[in-house]
Amino acid sequence: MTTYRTYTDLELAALLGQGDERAFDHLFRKFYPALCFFARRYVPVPGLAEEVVQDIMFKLWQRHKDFNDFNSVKSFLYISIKHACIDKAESERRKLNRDNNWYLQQDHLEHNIEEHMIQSEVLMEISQAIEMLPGQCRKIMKMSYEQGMSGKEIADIMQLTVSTVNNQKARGVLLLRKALSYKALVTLFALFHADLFN
Amino acid sequence: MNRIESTFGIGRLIAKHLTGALNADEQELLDSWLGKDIENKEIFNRITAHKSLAAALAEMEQVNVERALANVKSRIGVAERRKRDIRLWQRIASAAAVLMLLGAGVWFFSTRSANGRFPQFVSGAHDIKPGRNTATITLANGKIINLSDAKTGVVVHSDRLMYTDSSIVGGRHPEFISGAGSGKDISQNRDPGNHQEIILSTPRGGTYQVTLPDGTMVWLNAASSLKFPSTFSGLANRKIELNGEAYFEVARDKKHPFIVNTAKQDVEVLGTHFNINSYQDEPAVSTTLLEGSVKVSAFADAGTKSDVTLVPGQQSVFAGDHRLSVRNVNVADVIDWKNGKFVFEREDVRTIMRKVTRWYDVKVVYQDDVGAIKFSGTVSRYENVSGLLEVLQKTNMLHYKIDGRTILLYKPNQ
Repeated sequence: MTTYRTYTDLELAALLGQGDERAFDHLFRKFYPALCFFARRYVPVPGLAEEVVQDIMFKLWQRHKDFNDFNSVKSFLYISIKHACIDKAESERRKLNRDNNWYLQQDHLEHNIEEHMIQSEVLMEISQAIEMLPGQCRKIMKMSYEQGMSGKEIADIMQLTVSTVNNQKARGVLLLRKALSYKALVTLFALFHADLFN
Repeated sequence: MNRIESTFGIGRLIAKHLTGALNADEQELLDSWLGKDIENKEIFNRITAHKSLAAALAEMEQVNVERALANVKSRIGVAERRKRDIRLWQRIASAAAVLMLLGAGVWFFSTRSANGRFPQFVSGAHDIKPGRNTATITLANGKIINLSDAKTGVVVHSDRLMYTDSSIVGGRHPEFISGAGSGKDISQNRDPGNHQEIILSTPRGGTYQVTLPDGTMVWLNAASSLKFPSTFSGLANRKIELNGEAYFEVARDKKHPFIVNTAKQDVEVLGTHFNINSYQDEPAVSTTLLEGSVKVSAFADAGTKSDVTLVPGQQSVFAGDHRLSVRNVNVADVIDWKNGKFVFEREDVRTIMRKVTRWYDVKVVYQDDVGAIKFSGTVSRYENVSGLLEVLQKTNMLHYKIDGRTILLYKPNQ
């Protein structure tokens, strides 16, 4: 199972296209939390949002032959989830016959999709990079950044010295930086230059 | 050019910005995007605000990825088996045709699927499956309802039960809670609000989620039970009883304190997220607070009472004869069960095995004294039990054997 952690996104997408189940599992674990976050912007009920994302991930598997690159996988996921959420919200409203402010206006949804997608992508990259950190370092980073604990509080819980905690945090930040410095620059350039010259 | 794909690019740039991984060219790209539209700058500020980032990461942490993956994989398994069965049938049909032509005796057919891999034959005989969504509801009139294991949660309305996806419990024969009409009603609860006592229980190997009449959500772990009224209206407090382990997200209602009663302690809350672990076979009761505020009151065997108010990140521990003690903990570890994982933090084998027996519904036999060895690690709850046992065995400090529904533990062979 560990070998898949070192595959790049490109390689995983290619493997998925060939029907590799373990690549699917790995992509699932990578995407799922961020996609649920995205879905919950449209369907605030956690259980329902998760059902939608699971349905779409299942569809992804069924159609794996259609995908051979990472961007097309992600585009499919975001767009399908958005549509499925809108349908779900609509059918919930009809079922329960409610006029709650739960169910956001259609235009509002369209307008914000870019922001929601960007946010989900940021979260996915960051949480993925955090998950890849070594054991103790990862715990400390999570307690610090997600739970907002101070160095002293973390030191107390993990029975370490404050200086050890600070060292691990510094190490964590460096490792995150390293993890996110990948060579996708060329693709980014291509995308951006095309856009700028529109 | 694809608008959507450029948002992926922006997301990546922002993630790099947050970790200081941007190089000069990338910084330029980000700056030019920010400069293009005032809206972009606002989006950037909203996303990178420390509080919202931390809150979003914490929200993602709450998701039970392993169970979701297990769900989707079982759907894939069903679909793949159907496809394989169809292909097999086609092969049989064509092989039969060939047979008839050749009129020969021996024929081979391979059960290889189209992409060249052999189907997995799992030797279920020597492994034990994990728990799943299963629970029962007992109504005031004594009727027991088995909840569907295809659903994850049940919602209690004042007069009937529904699943979280809005389908009705009992399908075409809906389950009604009110006493009216059910002739066998011997309930003593004839008070004006018509409160009916309901019990949700999970067996060993089961877990379920319930939404109480006030909107409070409760996740029940294995071998646990929760007792509550069909409606809280007309009651001064929202009182419920817990045996076992549950994670709560309590609906806000300042006027009506929410109180969880366990054998040795009461927990009073105002609107908050917390976990209570109070199994009879565990040495202590512990309450861990994630959000909000709770007051824990414990009753020692000697009859004395002590209380403590918790803040997020704290855990109270109480073992019958001592006072309540409080310590700081990593809350993610405590509720990892809800997110589909077993997390052990320097826990001894006996404690680990107690969790295993509840979730997998098995017995454990110690052939050697390995119970005090401590382990740390994380394993998915949705794998067969061998997954967890393998992790322990790899340390070479103990060995295991599965015999039917009994797990044997012993020292490694010399």
